[in-house]
Amino acid sequence: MFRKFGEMILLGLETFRALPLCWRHRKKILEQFYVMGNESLLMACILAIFIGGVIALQSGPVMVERGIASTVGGLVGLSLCKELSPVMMSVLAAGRVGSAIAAEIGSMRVYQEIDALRTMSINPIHYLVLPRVVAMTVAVPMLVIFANLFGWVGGALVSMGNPDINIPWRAYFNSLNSLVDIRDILSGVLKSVVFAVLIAVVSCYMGLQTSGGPRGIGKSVTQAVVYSLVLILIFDYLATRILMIIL
Amino acid sequence: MPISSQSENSVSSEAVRVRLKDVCKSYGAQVVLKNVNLQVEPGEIFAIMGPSGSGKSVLLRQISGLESPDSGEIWINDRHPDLSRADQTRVAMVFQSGALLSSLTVGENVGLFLEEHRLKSKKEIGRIVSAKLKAVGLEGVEAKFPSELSGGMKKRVSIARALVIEPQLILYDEPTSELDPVSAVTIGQEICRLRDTLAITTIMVTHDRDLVQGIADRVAIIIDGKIVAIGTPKEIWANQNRKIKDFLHINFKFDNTIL
Repeated sequence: MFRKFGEMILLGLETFRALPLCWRHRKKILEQFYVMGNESLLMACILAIFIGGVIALQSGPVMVERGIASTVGGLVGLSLCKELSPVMMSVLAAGRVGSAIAAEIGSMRVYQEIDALRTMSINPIHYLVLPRVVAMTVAVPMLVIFANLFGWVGGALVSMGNPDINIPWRAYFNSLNSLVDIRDILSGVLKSVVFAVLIAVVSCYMGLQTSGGPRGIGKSVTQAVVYSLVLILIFDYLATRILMIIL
Repeated sequence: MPISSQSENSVSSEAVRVRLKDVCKSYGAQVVLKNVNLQVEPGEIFAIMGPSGSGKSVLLRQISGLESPDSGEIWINDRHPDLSRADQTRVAMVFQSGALLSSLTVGENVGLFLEEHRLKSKKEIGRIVSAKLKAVGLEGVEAKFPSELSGGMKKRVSIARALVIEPQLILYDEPTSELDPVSAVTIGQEICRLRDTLAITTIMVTHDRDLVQGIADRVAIIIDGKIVAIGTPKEIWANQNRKIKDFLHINFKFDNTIL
């Protein structure tokens, strides 16, 4: 397992070194970005509305009971932008996009397409990994911003519509506005950048390591998702600690 | 650089000599190649035959540079195989499955080398792609995806993609496997024609006895990772070594028993 992590770090470093080639591979980056956005945006928005709604539903009545109903908006806003949006969007990206990356690259590996690239002196890291890592690094933070917005609206709808909470739209967003700082939003977005790099590198690595036919592809996909989820949660704690010091 | 002067009907300037000296390769405890020594002459069609799992494809991967031998040396003229430099890539490989990139069209597959290394303008790449596809008997398929092609067509597209590199050496891994007899003959003729017109050195790994007897100049038989015989097809078929005879002359009878 340590060897795998070591190789993932090396793959990440090699991809980082290839960053100056981004402009050259811009078409592939945009294609990947489109695919990732297309696959995940609608799902992300739906997910976010319900997450925001659930937080409001769970916390609202308790806060009303204790006379601090005016802070429901702030609670939903902070929970989403600092923690839930980056983590949930990354989980979504690992499940939908990361698995697709591992399957695609794994299939290319099994069917010798990557060997064919190498015989043409085309570096698979530049051709396959770089566009996916860059696209993911841009796409996931954007999903997080969308998730924040839709999650806040979801919370507002529940706070307004639920008779046990019954907070007006304006009061909800006033509370959100007073409690949520731009640094809170930035902290979530920065965390999602870390998660995005992790998911993309892990998924590409698993794809590149695939062997043994369709069964091997399935195994790579599973491993890509599991490793991504574990690393997201570990790095969530580490990134939160670091960002608490920095921001 | 030869690539930069590429035209649609370009001819490989010089075929290469391939030399293997004491090449060994193992995967873990499994020894796959044992002291393989071989010399393939410029412009020759050289076939490598042997039972499944004898190390033929692994040998081809060492020559292509996709893998490095554990010990021993491989020379393509005066150079070791090196895939890291586009300007030195004059070795092309046609894979058993064709290995066309399924997300790209046929035209994009064939022009991929030129496109990725920025060797030509888009217009010129388009012209070269059409010419190479025409050279392998496929016209007007540029916009199709590999999934829309038959097995024989995929192999020919793969050959066209190899030709774009202007290779001095082409390596074929099972060029006629999974093909019907007519397509197999067409591919065989294509290999022969490319050697005759472009003077490309050709090494092919195959189980196809008809193909070897029909077009190969020389044949090497590899069994358990060791080359046990090298010669012209006539010499090899006349070889009295028991293992070679067993491999080359085995046949099915119609009552499904093996002779």
